[in-house]
Amino acid sequence: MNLDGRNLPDDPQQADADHIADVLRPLRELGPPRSTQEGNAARIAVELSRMKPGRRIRDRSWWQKRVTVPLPVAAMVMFALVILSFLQMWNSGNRGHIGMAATQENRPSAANLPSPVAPEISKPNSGFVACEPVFYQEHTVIAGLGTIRSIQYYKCESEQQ
Amino acid sequence: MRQKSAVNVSLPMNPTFDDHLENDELLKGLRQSESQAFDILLARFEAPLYRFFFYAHGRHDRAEDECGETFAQLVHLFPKMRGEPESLRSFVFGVARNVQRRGWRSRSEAQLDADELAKVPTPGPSTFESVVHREQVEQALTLINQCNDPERQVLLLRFVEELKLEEISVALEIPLNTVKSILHRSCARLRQQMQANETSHGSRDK
Repeated sequence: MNLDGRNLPDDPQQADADHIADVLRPLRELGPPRSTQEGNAARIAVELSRMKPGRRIRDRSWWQKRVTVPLPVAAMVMFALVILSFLQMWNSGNRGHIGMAATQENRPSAANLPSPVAPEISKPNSGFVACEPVFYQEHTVIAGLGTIRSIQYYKCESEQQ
Repeated sequence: MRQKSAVNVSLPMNPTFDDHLENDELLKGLRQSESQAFDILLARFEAPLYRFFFYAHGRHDRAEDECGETFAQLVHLFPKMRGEPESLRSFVFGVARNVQRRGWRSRSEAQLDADELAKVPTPGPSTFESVVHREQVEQALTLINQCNDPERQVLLLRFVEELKLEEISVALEIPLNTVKSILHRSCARLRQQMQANETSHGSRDK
């Protein structure tokens, strides 16, 4: 056998290598006994069965895949969701009086009036009281969070008032 | 570490798969953890790995454990393996070397002898029990016993397992030039010793 892949028959180093290769050749005849073969096959089978859950995750469709989120981020998101839902519930129960910094009731100018259809005005002579539709806009504002509730509506105000 | 398992095992004695699978296809299967690919791997590397371990310390039970451990590690390492299909042999022997190195400290300095080899359980009569081979085997073992690692590993990988020098270099994590110099040096030294032994035997006979 060549020592490093070259064919140099007159090379003394090559002759040494060939001689050593010849002497060591009988060592190739040793093979693993049956018990070792069984043990190796069993070991591979066990390790492959352990690998399979991982493979299934890798082969999942995108909607089945999972992502890892750092615990602080997950905790903060959870906390924010809980606070928001709590505020929403409280707000709907108490008409936004909790934590309300200000409730504004403003009468917009004619140019800012939105398009909603105004209610029909009763005719003066029809026996009903004549009224004028007035646009109202209410905002519930929490300092730091901004507007959390906004209501727009028309109210009929009679001319007698 | 030996692991007993109740898993049914089918040995690749009569493989139904293509045993001459090319390395790139085999490596693809191994990376995807296909059991058939591992059957081929077993068929190809079981004996070389067993020999690699056995000749390092001469203990069958230990070689068996190390063999199993190497295959177990390979199952987990192949999906992460980067490299060309040509590097398959060096990769396998590299893992084997790491397994061997882990048990280095607890290793007792066992010496190989033909009696120990004859104890290796085989289905039929052991090759090493035959009188014809015994002398040759003893000579080979005497030669190997005169070497320490990595010299012994380089010699075994080169002349018994027929790895290329580049593969040995990668597997043992030794520079290629060092592998070459180890080979040249150890071959020359062992040859001289053999000649000296022959002359001393010859003079005794006279």
